[in-house]
Amino acid sequence: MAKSTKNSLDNILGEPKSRRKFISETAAVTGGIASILATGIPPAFAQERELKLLTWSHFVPKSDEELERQLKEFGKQAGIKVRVDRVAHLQLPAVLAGEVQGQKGHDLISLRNANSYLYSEHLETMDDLYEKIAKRGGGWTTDTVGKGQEGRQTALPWYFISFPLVARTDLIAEVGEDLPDTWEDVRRIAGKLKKKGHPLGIQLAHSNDSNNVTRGILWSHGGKLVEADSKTVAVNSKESIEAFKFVRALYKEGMEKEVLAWDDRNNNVCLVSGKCSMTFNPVSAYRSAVRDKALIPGTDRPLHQVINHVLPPRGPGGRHMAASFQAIGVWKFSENAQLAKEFLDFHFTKENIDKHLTASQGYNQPVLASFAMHPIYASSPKYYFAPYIGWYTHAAGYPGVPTAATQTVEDQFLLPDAMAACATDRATPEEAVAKLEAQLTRIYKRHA
Amino acid sequence: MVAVTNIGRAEARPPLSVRSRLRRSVGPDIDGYGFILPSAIIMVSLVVYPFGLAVWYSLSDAFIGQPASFIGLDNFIYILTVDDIFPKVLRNTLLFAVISVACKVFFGLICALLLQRITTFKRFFRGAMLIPFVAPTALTTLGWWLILDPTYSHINWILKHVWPFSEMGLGPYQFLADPTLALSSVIFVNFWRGLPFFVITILAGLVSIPDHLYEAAEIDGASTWDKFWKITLPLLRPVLAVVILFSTIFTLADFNIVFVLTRGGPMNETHLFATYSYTYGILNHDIGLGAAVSLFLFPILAFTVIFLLRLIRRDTAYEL
Repeated sequence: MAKSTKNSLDNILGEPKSRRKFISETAAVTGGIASILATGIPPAFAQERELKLLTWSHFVPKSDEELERQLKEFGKQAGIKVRVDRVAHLQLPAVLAGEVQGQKGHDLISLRNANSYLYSEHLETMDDLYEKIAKRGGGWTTDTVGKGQEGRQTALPWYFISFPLVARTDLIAEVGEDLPDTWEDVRRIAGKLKKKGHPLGIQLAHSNDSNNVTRGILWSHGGKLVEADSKTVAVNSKESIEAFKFVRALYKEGMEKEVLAWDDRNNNVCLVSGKCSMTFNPVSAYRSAVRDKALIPGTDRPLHQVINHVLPPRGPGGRHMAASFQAIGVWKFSENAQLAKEFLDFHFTKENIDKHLTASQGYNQPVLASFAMHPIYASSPKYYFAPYIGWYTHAAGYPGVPTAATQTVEDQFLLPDAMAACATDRATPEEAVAKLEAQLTRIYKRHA
Repeated sequence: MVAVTNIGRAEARPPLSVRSRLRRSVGPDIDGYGFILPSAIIMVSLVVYPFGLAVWYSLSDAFIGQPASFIGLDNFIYILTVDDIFPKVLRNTLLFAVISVACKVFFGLICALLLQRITTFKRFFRGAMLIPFVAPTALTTLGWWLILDPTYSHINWILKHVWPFSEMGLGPYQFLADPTLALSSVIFVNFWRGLPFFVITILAGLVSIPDHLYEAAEIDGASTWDKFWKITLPLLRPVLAVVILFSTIFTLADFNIVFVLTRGGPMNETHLFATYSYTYGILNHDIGLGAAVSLFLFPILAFTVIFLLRLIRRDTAYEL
């Protein structure tokens, strides 16, 4: 009985080992585990590749759902695991900064405006893919988005989010006006409607919408933050001061104090609740009114029927508006850089781009020429502005290109803060512009 | 001869172990030092190293994702001489901490005294008092964000629609758009969140005061007021000092409430050290400036801690 037990144990444990052999084998195993822990790379047989994508939480969730579906489909074809992580759009800069500092994180990342320039050194070059997709899509409609330092294409332009004027047509008709075409029209109509309890709503606060719309106002009045060389600070001009004076008048005559504390959500809420008469926003406010079956207060009439989008107003300097240009890039430190590029090649096929644009319900606007007249824009008069707004839309940094300094100025909300200080009489237009000039000079010098 | 023998014996002794030699040189507490060594290593790794790194960053032009070089005190000079938001940050942080902690002490004491007297539903009230403290800060602050919403504040709705407020013609107030109201709002939310910590700790201090002191005072004819000033408050002072110390540290370094409620706005009027440092260091990628801003907090905290610890030490010597 005892012998049979010993035999069983030998079968399980194998041949008895000498002390020396035991120590050498243990050392080998320990060394192996230590090297796996130190490098963070499992042995080949245990590796399971995972492609990770980081993007912002889209205001139209179906856009994210379609993106995830495509990534899963690609993952299935490539035999890899995939993951999509989303963060609030205002938190995305912090997450990107953390990944760059730690040199670890996702493979594919959603980049905004000048992020591709700011993180140029840490992003894969996309020149080949950029050319290939351009040929397939009839060319790019922008030549400034996704650029890095030294003219390298460090990200692929993805889509842009435009800022038309969103207006309540019924309220404007009630005060005997037509839809505004100029900024002076906006000011006059907003003044009339504020008295009736329906103010204009433009964020003068720390929000993306505010960054875009305040730039639109500045440019439409002939002002600019920097020269076309993207280096020389040029905000302190007669035109900029006029733009600041206009914002002060617009705020006092047509807006309420609440805009000083608004985020990107508040103007949508204000419009959909029936309070605001006009705002500047992508189509998400309109889509919310449709989805929520919002009614005009005190009536049974659907609110979305009386909401329309028109081109941004004209000013003395022309018709200009900023937009959030989105790009998608691949970190250099990604272990799956090649795979990530293959996914982008897959995503930027005609079929997949079409599905992504359609899923966003018109919110994402194309940067490839062959999609400019996408059928979704002909599906409703609410979208008629969309194919044309690109002509008047510029990336931050206009008349130059978006640079690292541009991104820093945006992330600090310097222009909205300066305009808010002027609007609330905490600074004269001249003081506000002079202070902004000093802030910009320091930032542009820092990034020179 | 005897002496020689003794010397010979002494020389014949085995050499002292390392531990014994250390005990001779360090003293009898060598075991104690041994026990705290792991904690000390963790402290050095988790506190001293990041602090040293922050000091280095503050003296450099560190920028996210780029190599840093030494620039001396340039960041501090810029903050003190050029940055016109920084004085507001300093003012806000001090106001935020002083007002909030003072309110917590005052109302915490009142609530603790009331809770001590409550006999019916005692456990319920003591438990309910803790809710603001145990709920996640980000969640409760989001709740306050909705209550104070610029467009649809619940408070403004009540002032407009609920009697008798609707008769008073109050509001609407721009809680987050008006700089003074916005700062008041973040102070209030911090007070609301921190109050339970004071109440429960002070209550524990109250319970530990022996009843016979009050009985003796009553026999001597002391009034309720006398008992409070001469017995309760002096015996609570060590507890109060500790709770104020912790609360001041947490309040001075607060981030969540301002970040969720106002994001430092309107027009940078509600930034605290933590949020402003985050803005510079993370959002603007200028780690050097961000680190320099946060280091301004260090002397303030150090002064507060030294002052309160001295107070505690003095009170520890208090004898009945």
